[in-house]
Amino acid sequence: MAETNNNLIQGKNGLWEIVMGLEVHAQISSQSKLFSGAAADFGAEPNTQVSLVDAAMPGMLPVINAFCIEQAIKTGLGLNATINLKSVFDRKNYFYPDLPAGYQISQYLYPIVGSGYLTIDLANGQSKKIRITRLHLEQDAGKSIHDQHPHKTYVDLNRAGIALMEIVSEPDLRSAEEVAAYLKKLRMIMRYLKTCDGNMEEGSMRCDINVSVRHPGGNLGTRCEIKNVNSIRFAQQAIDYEARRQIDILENGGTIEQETRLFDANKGTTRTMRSKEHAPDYRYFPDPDLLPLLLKKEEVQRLKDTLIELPDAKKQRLIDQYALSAYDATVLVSEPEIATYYEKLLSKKRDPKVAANWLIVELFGYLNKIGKTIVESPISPEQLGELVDLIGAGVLSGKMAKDVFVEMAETGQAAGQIVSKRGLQQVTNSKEIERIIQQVLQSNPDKVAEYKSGKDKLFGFFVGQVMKASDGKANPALLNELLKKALS
Amino acid sequence: MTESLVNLTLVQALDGLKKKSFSSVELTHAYLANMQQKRNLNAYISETPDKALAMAKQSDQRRVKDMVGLLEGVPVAIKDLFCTEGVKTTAASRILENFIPTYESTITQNIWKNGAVLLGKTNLDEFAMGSSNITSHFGPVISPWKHGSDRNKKLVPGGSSGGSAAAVSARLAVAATGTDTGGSIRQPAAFVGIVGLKPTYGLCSRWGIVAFASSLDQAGPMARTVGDTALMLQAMAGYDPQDSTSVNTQVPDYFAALKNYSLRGLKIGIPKEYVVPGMAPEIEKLWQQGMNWLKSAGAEIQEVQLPHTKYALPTYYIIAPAEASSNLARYDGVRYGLRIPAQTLDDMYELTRAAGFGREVKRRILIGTYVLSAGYYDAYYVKAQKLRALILQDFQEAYKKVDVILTPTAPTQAFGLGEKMSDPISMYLNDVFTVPVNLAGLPAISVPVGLSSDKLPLGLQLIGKPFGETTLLQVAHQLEKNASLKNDPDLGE
Amino acid sequence: MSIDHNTVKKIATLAKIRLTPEEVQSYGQELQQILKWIEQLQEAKIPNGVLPDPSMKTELQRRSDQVTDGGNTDKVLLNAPEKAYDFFCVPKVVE
Repeated sequence: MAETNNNLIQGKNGLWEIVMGLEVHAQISSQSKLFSGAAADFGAEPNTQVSLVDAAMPGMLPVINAFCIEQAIKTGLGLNATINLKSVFDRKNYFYPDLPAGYQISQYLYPIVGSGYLTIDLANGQSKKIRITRLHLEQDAGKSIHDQHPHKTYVDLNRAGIALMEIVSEPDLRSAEEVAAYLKKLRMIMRYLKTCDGNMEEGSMRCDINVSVRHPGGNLGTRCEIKNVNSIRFAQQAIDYEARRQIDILENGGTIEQETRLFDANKGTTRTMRSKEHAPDYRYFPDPDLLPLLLKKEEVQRLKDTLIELPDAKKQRLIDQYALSAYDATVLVSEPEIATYYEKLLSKKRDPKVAANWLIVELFGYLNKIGKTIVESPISPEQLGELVDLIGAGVLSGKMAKDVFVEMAETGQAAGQIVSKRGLQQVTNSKEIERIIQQVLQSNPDKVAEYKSGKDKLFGFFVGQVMKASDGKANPALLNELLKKALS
Repeated sequence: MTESLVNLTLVQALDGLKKKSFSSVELTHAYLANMQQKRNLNAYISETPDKALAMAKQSDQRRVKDMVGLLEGVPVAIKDLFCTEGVKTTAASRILENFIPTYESTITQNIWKNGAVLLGKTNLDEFAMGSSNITSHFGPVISPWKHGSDRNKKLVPGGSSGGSAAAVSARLAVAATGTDTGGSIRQPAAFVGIVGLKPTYGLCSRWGIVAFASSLDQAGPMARTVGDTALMLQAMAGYDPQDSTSVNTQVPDYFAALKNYSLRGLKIGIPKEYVVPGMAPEIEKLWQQGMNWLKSAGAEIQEVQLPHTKYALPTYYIIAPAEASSNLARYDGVRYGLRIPAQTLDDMYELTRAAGFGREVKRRILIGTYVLSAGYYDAYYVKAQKLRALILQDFQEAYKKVDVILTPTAPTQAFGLGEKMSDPISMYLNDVFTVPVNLAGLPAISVPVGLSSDKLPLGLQLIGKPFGETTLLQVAHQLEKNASLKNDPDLGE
Repeated sequence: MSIDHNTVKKIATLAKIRLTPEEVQSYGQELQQILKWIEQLQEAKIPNGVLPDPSMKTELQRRSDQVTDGGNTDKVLLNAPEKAYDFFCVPKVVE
């Protein structure tokens, strides 16, 4: 848990520490929107996924999506958080063309999920607990397009009303690396739970970063909120820029104004969006179209009971159960699909380390080369398992197996098929190997005499000769054993 | 023939249709003719004669096949706050002057499913904000009733459902729908001598009704008799999964419950807090008369306390405008309704809303915005919500002792057009007896029981327990029998 | 409670309603009057523990996660004051 000093930034007059908290907007994976029956898919033609409710037609009323409630609870449980049995939907009032009702339905005073935490893993091998303040449900806004016409803004309401979870952290983050680790961990947890696909390119996960700087151990500085950061790389850029900007101001005797800033992805900078004085007055009040959301304890318990194993727990189990290294375990749990692949690989009794190696080194290497993900892998866990089994049974040597692997990936054929087609079986028949050994010894009587007179090094020569005579198919271990016997 | 057809109550009209004494088309023609004759009342914003006749014709065809709904063939009027598919729906506002919904409200769907015929959309106070129907963009509605000593004086029909009230009273519709946020069904019903019922919050769906104040709005029937009202309510009420505040409950047979009932032993509460300064003495007298009638019918009269009553009006005038300020934010000139073109977005918003809303609506939006704004929210909105809880508690306490509460509907008879305009508050005070009911989400009915010395109708209000509509209708039915009024503005009696 | 003209203007801006100088004056007076009347609430004694809850205590209805709506672009855009290429159009927003 210790904080390393690596995070500190050297300034003109001393060291600075960055203090950050995140507000992440995660789109809930669901078929339909939070309060309407329109589809929540990405990339549809403009205004095709809009119900009369989403367009805020007169007299239209919201009805909540039960699945979205479950998704928020599951995410809360995944973040070790309190689930509030009573929460309230409020209206956040402001005018904007892509906010049809003139208010966003959100949760202000009483969110569905209270405080929790997640643990981030850092490059130096340490881990750190980041406290979660709350998670609440809210609607997304539509999309305003400003660059299609010189004097007009175009409005598409497909996104309006899609369910979001806003996940707010405490100001526990101290570096761009920690922020990246936090975002990755949060995304990993939501992907495991299938509550959010975490696809930042499609906007299904966006974040606002609250940044302030201080001298280590000093009081918290004035913070600026950086809006709409939509990739982990941008988050790092934005933080680097913003921290430097604030330190420069302070070191030149200035003060930080509390404000909302916008990240400019083209320039890698942040700029003022609005100052605190111009902070909008949202006039929050409970939405009278919706009653308070009451959850039953049993309902939460049922979701808790059916919660799948999350990455941290899974990692620990892989280490305990299979004696894997922390590194291997971390890689295997990094995405739920990889973990699933690995566990399928081990659904038959196989050497966990060998299996992990083949997955992490060979399969990932190959997938990387062809630019595909584990889900699109041309080799199924069953197929890779067969290969591992052939190695385990001594049918294939490691080197032979690699050739077979490539052919499997390229042709889709099973390992056994390739082996028998190419006659690749190792020779494990002792009689056959003994026959070859006798041949080799008989053709090299002088070398045999030298060996017997004490020139042990010649053993390697005999191994090579036998291997060559067997076209490389002799089982190395067996060969060793039989050769020793023959020369003794 | 024509005149006598429009004088039939809903129950009588159904009987005539059943006996084939006349067809729905004939009945509809009679109403359309009367509507044409009495356009000076300005009761309708849109008349839909073609649609009416087409629907009547279809109803007559269904009648032949014996496929008969609760309101089969009966021509009704719909307050222009209910969205009707393909029929202009304005909320009496310039901002929705040309709005044509592509959808039909749940309540009107229910009514059409039961065989009724649409005569047109009735006038109202803009966005249902008012108690006199003078805030309509389409001009005020004139009450069909004449002041006894000043026959030329134009009277208000009350509001906000003034068009529906005037239409039912003047025989321009058999019955009508209204909405009631603070008295908008009951007060106009009392002013024009008809029956108006505000159901328990959640009994009638709000889906497709232009919202004023969501936690208070409730649709309800307006008709000439208690029996007609029961039938209308039965057609309208029911659970709607599209309205999160709709209550999933079995709708009883309200009409059948009027055939045979006894009020013996029923406890009627009289809240002393409802004796307010400025209440007309003849209204107090009529209230007493009502108690006597119910006593004779076997009911017991008992005093009850509703100590927070005096806070109801100011509480209402915080909560209703607050919700309205948010509900009316959608009228922004972007997706439908009026737009005043402008160079910048903010100009477009501000000019559109300045031109689209009338003075009373703007006043309430501004008040609502103010009470929700930073620094005032706790002092106004939260305080009002707590008082609302206390007002509800008052009723809950009272209902431990009594079954129904009897009060006047309004402190005065109908006033003249242009009166009470000097300041907004004097108009707000007209809702003093009706507003607490909305705050508590309870059902209440206004039933005409007498005429003032000026020959104008006066009504009494019965307030019930949640989902106590059946009892309310029964007690109202008793009062109606005792009063035995003709309720005909043309006769003046 | 007093409402000055700046407050009236601020509220009107929040509510996106343009007021003329005369309207600022007249609405100011009316709001002042109404708020003064509403002030009587301040004298009301509210016992501890009273929650500012809506009156109805029924359970919030939930719907199942199914696509039941959408695909009605024409209906959605039918009443639009200005549209192009199936988008709503507004004066350009400068951020």
